[in-house]
Amino acid sequence: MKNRVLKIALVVVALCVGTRALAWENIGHAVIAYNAERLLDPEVKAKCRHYLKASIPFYATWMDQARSIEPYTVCDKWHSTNIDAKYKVVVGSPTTGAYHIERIRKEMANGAYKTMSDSLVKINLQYLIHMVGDHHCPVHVRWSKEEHPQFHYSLLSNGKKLHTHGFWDGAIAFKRRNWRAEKHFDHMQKLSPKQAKKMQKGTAYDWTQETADVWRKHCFYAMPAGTDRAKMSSEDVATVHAIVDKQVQRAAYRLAGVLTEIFKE
Amino acid sequence: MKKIFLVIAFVAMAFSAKAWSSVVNGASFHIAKKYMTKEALAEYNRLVALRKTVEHNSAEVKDAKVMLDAELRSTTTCEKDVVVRIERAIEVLRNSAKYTDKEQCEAFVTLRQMLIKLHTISTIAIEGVEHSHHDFEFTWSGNREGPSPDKRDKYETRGKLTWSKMWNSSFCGWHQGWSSNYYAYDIDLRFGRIREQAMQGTVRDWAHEVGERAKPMYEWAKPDMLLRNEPRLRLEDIHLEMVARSAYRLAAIMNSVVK
Ligand SMILES: [Zn+2]
Repeated sequence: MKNRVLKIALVVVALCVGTRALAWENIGHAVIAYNAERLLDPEVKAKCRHYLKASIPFYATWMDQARSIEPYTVCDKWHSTNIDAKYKVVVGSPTTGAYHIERIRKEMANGAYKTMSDSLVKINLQYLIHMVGDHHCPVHVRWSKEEHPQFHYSLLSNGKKLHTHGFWDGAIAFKRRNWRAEKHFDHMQKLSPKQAKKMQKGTAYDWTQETADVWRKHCFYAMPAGTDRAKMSSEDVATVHAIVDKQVQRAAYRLAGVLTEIFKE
Repeated sequence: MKKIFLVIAFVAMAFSAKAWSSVVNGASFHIAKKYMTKEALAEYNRLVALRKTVEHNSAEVKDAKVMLDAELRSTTTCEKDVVVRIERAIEVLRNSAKYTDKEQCEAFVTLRQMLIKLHTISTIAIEGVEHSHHDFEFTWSGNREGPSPDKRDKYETRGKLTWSKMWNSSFCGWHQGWSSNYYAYDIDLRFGRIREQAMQGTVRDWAHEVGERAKPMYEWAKPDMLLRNEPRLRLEDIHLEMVARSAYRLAAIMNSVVK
């Protein structure tokens, strides 16, 4: 019996480890995709359905699974984007996600998706659904260790070392056990059409720059090195939630915006 | 640390005692209700309410198997067999006036749980296919292998999984945060096209059909195998299709018992 308990525990731990290193973790990607889907008008939603043959959230984490599978290993580096020594987003590098978000947007714009095969439209959507989410995750901007050593540090969880990346990836579910996507959507601050349009403006480079600034100006101070997540005050927890909720809102509205820009007649 | 381990272990055990996860089970029931006739839905709701008030034994799902012969036919009359238990449950629900509340509850609980078991690949035991008869452990390879071989070891996550656990509760981890309602919506959206076909036939036809899906898998599914992400992604589709089939068939059965 003892053996069996230990075995099951190991399996569960292994499963958890398997998802730990993903941006936003699975829950964050699911919430962003779900919220974006709820924001779409029926015409655009129907077009997404037509190509995906599934809901938008179904493909929220697909890119994380597919990165190890041929022919998708090519997208292994598309989950984040580099920031240079002067804190500026690196533009035009094909080994960054922002580059591919913009590439796909351009290739599909102005009805050009209609000239593509259904399978190409589908795969492009699968990439966008995931990458727009990734580029709003505060730890999915790449700070090189040489240029920005200050951003490479650890936090604590009950006194044990916790990588800062791991914390922010899962921050949307931090102290929110059992929140389902519907609850996250209800919780998300809704925008007027005018406010939404303003938020949806710009390119993936602008959004990544903003995410990098959020990291540098807010996350870094909200959870400085050595912070123990098990011993945070409710005000500090609220600060973390305010940061991630804003990022999730931006990601959801922008994903909805990107899909609308592609499909809206 | 020990405490955390035990908590995790108990959560996992609660999980493994059930077929599929509770979210996916719930999704299957949500879909089924959508396709019940008015009368069937009323009867279903009566049984759900009864189940909450009448003391009854829960369905014994541990070690439940669907026994198929080498031609993938279900011919058994063994009382422990999943198909036989579903057939008995249908009989009770069809003639509910003859049975006590407790017996009706047990039949209802058995029907729902066993239909799920019938549509779980690891439950199918095929004559002459050795690995289909016993659960086995294997290694799964996770999602951080990366394309470059030199970094593969650094990023690759691996773990141990059992064949039954994979089919029962591993796939929903990819959809954390989904409610039963949303699962139901997505599954019905993806598999609605097979609904009419799925609702036809007998329980033994359904066992044969699931057997046809399961059998080819045992050409590669073996203890100590290494299962990578690519087949796991494809297997999820089969799992979800099975959830859909089980839901449509629960609706078909309820529609038939009130006729
Ligand atoms: Zn990612």
